[in-house]
Amino acid sequence: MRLSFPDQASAPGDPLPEYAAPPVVETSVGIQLDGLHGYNSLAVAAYRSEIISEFPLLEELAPLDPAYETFGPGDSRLAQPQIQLIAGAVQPRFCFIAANGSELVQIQRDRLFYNWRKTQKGEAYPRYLHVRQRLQSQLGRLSDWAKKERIGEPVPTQCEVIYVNRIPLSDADGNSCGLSFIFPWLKGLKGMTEDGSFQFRRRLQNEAGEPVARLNFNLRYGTDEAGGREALLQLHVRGRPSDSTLSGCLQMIDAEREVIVRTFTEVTSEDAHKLWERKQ
Amino acid sequence: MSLQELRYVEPSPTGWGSSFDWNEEQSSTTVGSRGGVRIATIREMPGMGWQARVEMRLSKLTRLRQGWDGYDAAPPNISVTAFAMSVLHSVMKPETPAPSIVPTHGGGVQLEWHSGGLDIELMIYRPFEAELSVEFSDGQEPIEDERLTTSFDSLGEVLEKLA
Repeated sequence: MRLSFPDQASAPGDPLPEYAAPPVVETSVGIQLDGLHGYNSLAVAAYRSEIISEFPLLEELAPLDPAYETFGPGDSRLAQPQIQLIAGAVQPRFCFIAANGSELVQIQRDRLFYNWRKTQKGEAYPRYLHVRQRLQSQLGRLSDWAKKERIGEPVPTQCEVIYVNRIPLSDADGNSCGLSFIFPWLKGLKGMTEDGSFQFRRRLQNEAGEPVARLNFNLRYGTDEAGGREALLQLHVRGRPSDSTLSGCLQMIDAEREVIVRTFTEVTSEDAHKLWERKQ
Repeated sequence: MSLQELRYVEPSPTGWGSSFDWNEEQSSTTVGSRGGVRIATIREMPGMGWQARVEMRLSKLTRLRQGWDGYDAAPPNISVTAFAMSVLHSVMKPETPAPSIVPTHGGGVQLEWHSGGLDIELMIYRPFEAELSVEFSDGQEPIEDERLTTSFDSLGEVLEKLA
């Protein structure tokens, strides 16, 4: 499975950039799904009991609305305000969290996600393979659980990968630098701005040239809690897997992650790559 | 589903139009934001665009009871109505007329436009499973049950003629 932009710069087989010290502070990988018609909070308790030794902490959050990537001539029109539809009882999104807070599993009627996040203890990013394995394990568990609880059969509809990077605006000596030191394409910006944001979306196509996914790019910058300048770069790809099997989902997630790594490298400077110890 | 406050859901409701009434005491269709925290009603008003009309209709359809057709039909699933909205955002212009929307026995919805010499029907069974049929009054070759998944360019092309 390979995803590419219609004007993709890299070719199939080009090595994927690698960093020894990437500025990633959170990754989130998972699926949206359909088919759990009998889903209920009591059934989720059974899911939790299977993973409680690894994820003993619990949080309840408002559920996320279904979101699909579709494509047509109206996609690039400016966004219209939208109202969220409510149907039936609102069931929460459950977060099962590891004791150290760095890993969590999120589940709601139509989503299952695994997150890794950097905590104040500052653990190193465990790398993508670890994150992928953790998701794979939860996806396998989801099918078994749904069968055991007789709540339906999960049918993945969208696969998603999110990387959040927190980037201090400082050079190798720790001196503060402008945004364009990290993001060279912002060089034309005159004077110092207080804060700001920049976002765009790009279509991604499969090997057959069909649009199947989207990259959402969101860069925000401003002042952090300690008064330093920093940028928060979030790269998010969501798309439809080629089939609804576990391996189909994982292949899609691999392809989405590749888009994110290449985009991250393309939008940041070589000086910044040195700070993050780019290996290839 | 990142926990860092940035979340990519759909475009945020930044500028509510004048046709929205946040007083839930008043009638019409009740809609709200995630978590059921904010509840609003929308009143049908002249000049209301397709988006508000469609949202009213879809919201009503998701409230249908089980067996709404006198048999055992389920109401449209929220994943189907959300997918329908996503498709419409991909193909509609602000001035495109709102479709008629009817529920189907299997929990899907059918979107229909019958104007300008065109009969357009988009059947949505579930997310990424849709079929498009179009009949033209000018004798042009009809489109029959064209299977659509992620790309809705062909629907956008025929809707262009209605805008």
